[in-house]
Amino acid sequence: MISLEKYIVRDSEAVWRKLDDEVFIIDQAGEKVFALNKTAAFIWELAGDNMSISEIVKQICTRFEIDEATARTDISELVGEMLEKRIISLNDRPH
Amino acid sequence: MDSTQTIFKHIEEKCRKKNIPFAAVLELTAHCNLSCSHCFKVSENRPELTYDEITDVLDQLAALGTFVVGYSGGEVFCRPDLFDILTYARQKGFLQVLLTNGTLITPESASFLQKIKPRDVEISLLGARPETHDGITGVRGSFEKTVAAIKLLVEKNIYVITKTVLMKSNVYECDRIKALSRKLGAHPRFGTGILPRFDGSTQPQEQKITWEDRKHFLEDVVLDKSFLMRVKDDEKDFLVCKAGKCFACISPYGDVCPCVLLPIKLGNIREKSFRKIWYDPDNAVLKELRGLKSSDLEQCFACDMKNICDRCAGSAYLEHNNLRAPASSACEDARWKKYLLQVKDAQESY
Repeated sequence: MISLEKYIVRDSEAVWRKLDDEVFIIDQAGEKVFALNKTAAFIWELAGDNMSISEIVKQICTRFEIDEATARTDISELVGEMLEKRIISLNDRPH
Repeated sequence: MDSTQTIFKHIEEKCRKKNIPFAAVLELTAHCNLSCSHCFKVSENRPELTYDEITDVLDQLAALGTFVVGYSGGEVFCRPDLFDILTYARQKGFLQVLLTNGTLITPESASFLQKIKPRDVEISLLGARPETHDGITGVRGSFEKTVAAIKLLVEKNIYVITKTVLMKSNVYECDRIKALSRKLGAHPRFGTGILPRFDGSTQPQEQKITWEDRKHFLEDVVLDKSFLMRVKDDEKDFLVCKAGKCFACISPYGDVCPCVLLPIKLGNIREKSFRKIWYDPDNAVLKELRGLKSSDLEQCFACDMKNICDRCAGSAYLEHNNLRAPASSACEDARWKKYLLQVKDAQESY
């Protein structure tokens, strides 16, 4: 389980742009491309604002009108996927 | 198709539909230290964009959603503030591609590029021997410098693509150019298209290779799967390109054009913002380019090679002053591809 007190740090090498509600991320070599859905895109954007995962959970609850338990599960899953793709890392402190 | 290709296609589709310039080329300078016989560029007596003007364009492109910025010239290393521009663009989060002749690349600039991490550096390699390469560039010693630059960049783990325009004066050593590029650790790419010069002169086109040249020198070299696999599927707009939709170009003087090869001035960023120029609903050229369908290109649409043709609107315009006309180099390449496919079919049925 991912600790909610951690902070998400985006991969500084990645190139990303938001088109409509989707965020597209291309690695620096231009070889791997990732598309983030609306919720993942929201997390990605908040990650740039130095928010802890628990703060992001609160934001997600408000934005998508879901309960905290569901938000936590969804975020853990999405953060896990983003870590696997190496487009983010986790930090103990704001960056 | 793997997921990366699918997503890339999805991004491009989105950009096309909304006319977001997915990729833009900034021509940083018209100055060049070489004088290549096939060059189509013409320099003008106008002030080139300043560093501040270029960073302003980069800001605008980033805001519009541009992912890839290519730098071209002239020769980009003639620009004294090149490193500052690349550093700024890196901070704005672009994939960067440099087009250069390589002759001004030093160990220091190679180290700098290693830090900036461009997606690739594309270097013109016009021969496998000094006599051939220098004969085309018009500058003795340029071959040696270009080869040294490729080595320097490859040593720094930078992805180098060598680009060779095949013409009468180098086609006979095309296989050796390919071998040299690979030996240096680069990735060779060849093209046969030679455009008329932007001032209307057709002199560069005198260098175009003939059908016999192709049969003599290219059959074994270019007959690879990647070339043959580029047969179009049945998408309805396969004959129209990305120029003016998800591809843009900005000249050293600030003129916004639909493509590097299509020098129609849509507006100048010194007079209007890039956004205003790019999204001007009354611009007749943009309307034409964005509205064109394959079936509007009557001559091309009736052609039996349309499914294997990489038609270039820029060539068509420069050759015929008509965006809907066929482009001779694309016709020749399509004819060649058709021939190769017939050879391949014959080989397979044998």
